[in-house]
Amino acid sequence: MVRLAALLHDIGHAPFSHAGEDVMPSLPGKKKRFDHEDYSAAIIRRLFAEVIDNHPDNLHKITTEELCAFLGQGRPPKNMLFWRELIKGQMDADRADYLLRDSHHIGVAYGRYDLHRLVTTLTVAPHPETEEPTVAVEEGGIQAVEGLIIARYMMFTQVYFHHTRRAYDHHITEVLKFVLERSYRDHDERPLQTFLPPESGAVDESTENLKRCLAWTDPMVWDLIDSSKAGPHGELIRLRRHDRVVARTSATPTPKEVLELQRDILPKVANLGAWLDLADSAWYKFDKAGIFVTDGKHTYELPERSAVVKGLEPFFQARIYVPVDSEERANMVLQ
Amino acid sequence: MSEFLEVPHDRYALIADVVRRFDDAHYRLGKTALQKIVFLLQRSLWVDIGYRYTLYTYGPFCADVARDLDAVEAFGGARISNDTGFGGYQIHAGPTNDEIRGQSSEFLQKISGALDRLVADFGGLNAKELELRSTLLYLMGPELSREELVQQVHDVKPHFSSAVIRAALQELEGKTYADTATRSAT
Repeated sequence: MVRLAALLHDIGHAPFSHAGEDVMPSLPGKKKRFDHEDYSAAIIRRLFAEVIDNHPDNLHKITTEELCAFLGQGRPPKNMLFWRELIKGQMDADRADYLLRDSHHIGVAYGRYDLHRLVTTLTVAPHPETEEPTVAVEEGGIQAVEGLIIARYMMFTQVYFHHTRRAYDHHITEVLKFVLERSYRDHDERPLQTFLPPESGAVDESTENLKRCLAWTDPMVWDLIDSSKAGPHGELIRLRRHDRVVARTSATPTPKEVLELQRDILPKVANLGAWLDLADSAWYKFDKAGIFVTDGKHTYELPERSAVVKGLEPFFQARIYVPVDSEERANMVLQ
Repeated sequence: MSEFLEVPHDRYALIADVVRRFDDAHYRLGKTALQKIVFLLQRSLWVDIGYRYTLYTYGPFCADVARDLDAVEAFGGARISNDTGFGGYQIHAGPTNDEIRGQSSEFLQKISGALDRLVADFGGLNAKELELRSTLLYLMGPELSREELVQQVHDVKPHFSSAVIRAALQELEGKTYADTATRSAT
């Protein structure tokens, strides 16, 4: 179950991973959108049932419904709840993996840490407040988990929330809205700027929606950008003329500072096409809460045992971007 | 960037307000209790703050709530201390608590009645008691009978006897939290 979940949990990602998350439709009646995990569960349920449920090697008779429930989409299968932490926890396999993998592919060293030491010091300990079993690190692994947290902090500040990368996230999101809308128009359908919902009520319709979502791939969108068919933001990407930051808060701003940026500064440049970006809205977060250390008698949250981690302040910078052509004017307005 | 992009003043203010209310009522607030109070607010009293909870062995948990608490602490709205005697954490109001709450006073005014009710009904419970009640509400749904629900919770939390789970359920029903939760989705 855990291996299947690990394999399939991210299968619902849109093109360009989390940049496509803002193009997912809103949850009915909620202030939130569907996310890639909703799509992952729906894809498993609608498109993998035959493969998983009837596979001759499925000796444990794992069903797709159990798998979806394990991934957090429903009631958890009996005796499986603890293992969810390995797939969807504060120190899960995905987080352990992507720092190293992203560092390797980007060509930076920020995301490296001692994975082997971390894994060998993982254990089970009682939760400090509820005493329920939870994943923790033995005291001897504190330096390894400190390495993980520092890697997470550095990757967040230097890569995931890098000002240029966030500009391209914004452009990719706008590209996806454009190409989706055009595609629906070409099929004489309602010109939405979102993917179709993973669950629409009718089984056939949901399956069809998912197949159409899966048809959108990174290379397909790149081709549209390359051939100037991805709208104005596609051109900005093609010509490397991304939006520029014209105002920002400190890394750990006071609420007043963020409020001033949003309510006082942003309106001054709103007519220049300005937009606000928040570290809080980035999909990759810098988290240090919910990671536990045990000395065999007591369980502690990591910052209680690590001055290094305790000293890392949350990163909540907010930034205002404008199109590159408006940068000079915006700077004059804001002077 | 996103139509849902909002500076999370309301979320910070909510956390600062829960902390202040527990202080004023002289109840102990730990990290688990905060998680569960926010869960109850959203699940049973229909205050949609946009948090999405997942069930773990220690009950419903939302990483965004933990992150927002970190932010409120960094802004000076809360002080978190480790209390080994208490078996966990104690959260108290920090020097900028009033300022953080003041920035979303309209939102806090709107949910004031719901928070009054939650603090009165659950403020005196410890982390384990809150964990059991929030797990019951998380798993509750119109397709489950009462006994099936008790069994499900027992499966997830075998150290709670069926009798204790039933009593907690009865208490939630008595206070009408169970009625509202059955209408919503997890």
